[in-house]
Amino acid sequence: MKDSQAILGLMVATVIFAPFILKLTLVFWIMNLAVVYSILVLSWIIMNKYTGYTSFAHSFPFGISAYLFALYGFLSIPVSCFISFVIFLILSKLNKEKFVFSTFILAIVFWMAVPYLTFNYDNIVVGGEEGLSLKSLPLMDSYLLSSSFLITSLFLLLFLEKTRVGLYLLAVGNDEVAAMGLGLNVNLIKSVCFVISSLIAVFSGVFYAVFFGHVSPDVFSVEVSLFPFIATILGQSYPVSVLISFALILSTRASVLVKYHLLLYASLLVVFPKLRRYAIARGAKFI
Amino acid sequence: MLEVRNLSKTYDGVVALRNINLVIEKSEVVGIYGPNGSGKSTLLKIVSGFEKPTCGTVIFEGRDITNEKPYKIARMGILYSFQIPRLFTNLSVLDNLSLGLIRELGKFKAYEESLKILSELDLENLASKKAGELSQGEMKLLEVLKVLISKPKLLLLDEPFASLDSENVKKMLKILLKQRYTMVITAHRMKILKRIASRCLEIREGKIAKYEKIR
Repeated sequence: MKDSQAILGLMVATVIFAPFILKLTLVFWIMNLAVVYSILVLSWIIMNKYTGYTSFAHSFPFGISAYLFALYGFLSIPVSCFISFVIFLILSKLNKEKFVFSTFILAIVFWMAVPYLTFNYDNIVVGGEEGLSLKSLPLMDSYLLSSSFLITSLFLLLFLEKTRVGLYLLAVGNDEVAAMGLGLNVNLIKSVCFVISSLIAVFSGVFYAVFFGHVSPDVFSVEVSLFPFIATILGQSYPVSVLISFALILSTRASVLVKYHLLLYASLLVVFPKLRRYAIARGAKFI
Repeated sequence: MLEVRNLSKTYDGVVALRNINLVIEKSEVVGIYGPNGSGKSTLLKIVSGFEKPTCGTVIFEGRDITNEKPYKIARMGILYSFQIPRLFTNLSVLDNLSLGLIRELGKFKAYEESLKILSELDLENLASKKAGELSQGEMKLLEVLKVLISKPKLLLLDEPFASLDSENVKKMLKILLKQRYTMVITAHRMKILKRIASRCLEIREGKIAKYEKIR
């Protein structure tokens, strides 16, 4: 397990540093997008793995932080994180099944409502369907920033799992009633997870904003909500899911698949679990 | 040590426990037997905080714990072992055992202690196995060991012998007979409880029907 994680970590590092070797603007651009979405995937897995909650509303911290960053700069990070945390915490009072549906409804509501949001900025009306513009970072800087954040978070999380707190988190994600029975403060541990997950999703939104220099209502789209779920279903663990999200973005954005990527995601979701069961039945072991 | 006063519990009009009064002294092993649905598990779940009573109080070491949260009750030293094992199936056997000790001892010592317990029972070969991969009997043993290892003040064991084969019943008895903790153990029949308990009581239709002093 340790060896495989190290190999996967090395693979992630290789994928991330590849654009510097290739030095192609298009590669940089696509890789940057892949890194941003991988950070979002990471934030989603934290919530899913350590609390057992499946969220379809990670487009919310992603989108709200991108919007608020365009309007208020760095102040958006704590504000978006707090709002997202409170929303996840309130919804988590429902049971886990209801949480899935309520987060999906929340994601849809925001996706529908944001095009009607306008802001008065220096006597100019901005927002609406056009979205907001901001000063973007140079491609290289943006890429360096987001990829170092991804690698650092990934390794910190892998390290965290080896600690006492990591074991508590894994236990709560596995069976919160049993964890309670051993004296673990499940609500506190879940709240910590919601904060970490929201914060990382907020950073992915901020990186998206500084990368594109423009934020449209599409940051709240259902595709953004579903993407982490798809990548995790295919990947199953941190490093693999991150790699999968990379592969998905690369294969869909850099090829003719760009028009049909939702169809590809849907097909993968249908086919992959069946293939996985088939492989496990024949003795295959997944990391 | 533990006092249950006028405890009753109803589920949607169905009475599970009626006016239960019970006192458990330190170092006592109390066996509770009765048929399915008689209220044995409900009583243990109320004491451990996983269920709230309709009326009545639970006093532990002079403190009213009736409406305390399960994790706070566990931290006071009352640990409950579930009838159907609730293990952390994605974690190893060693992790499952260490979780109850880790807060007090730290990770390294908790692992050391857990390995010691496993080797005492000739189960060290299970240490790195995932709990979800264990057999039914091994899961049941692990469920009991998981709470026992934390050295609780009061141990509540809900049907530890249920669905065990004779080999595992022997192992479970070996484990329980070695303990010096205050314990409440439930079972369907009195025969097996007589080997461990100092006092037995029968629950029928939510009421204590019979008391019996064993030793």
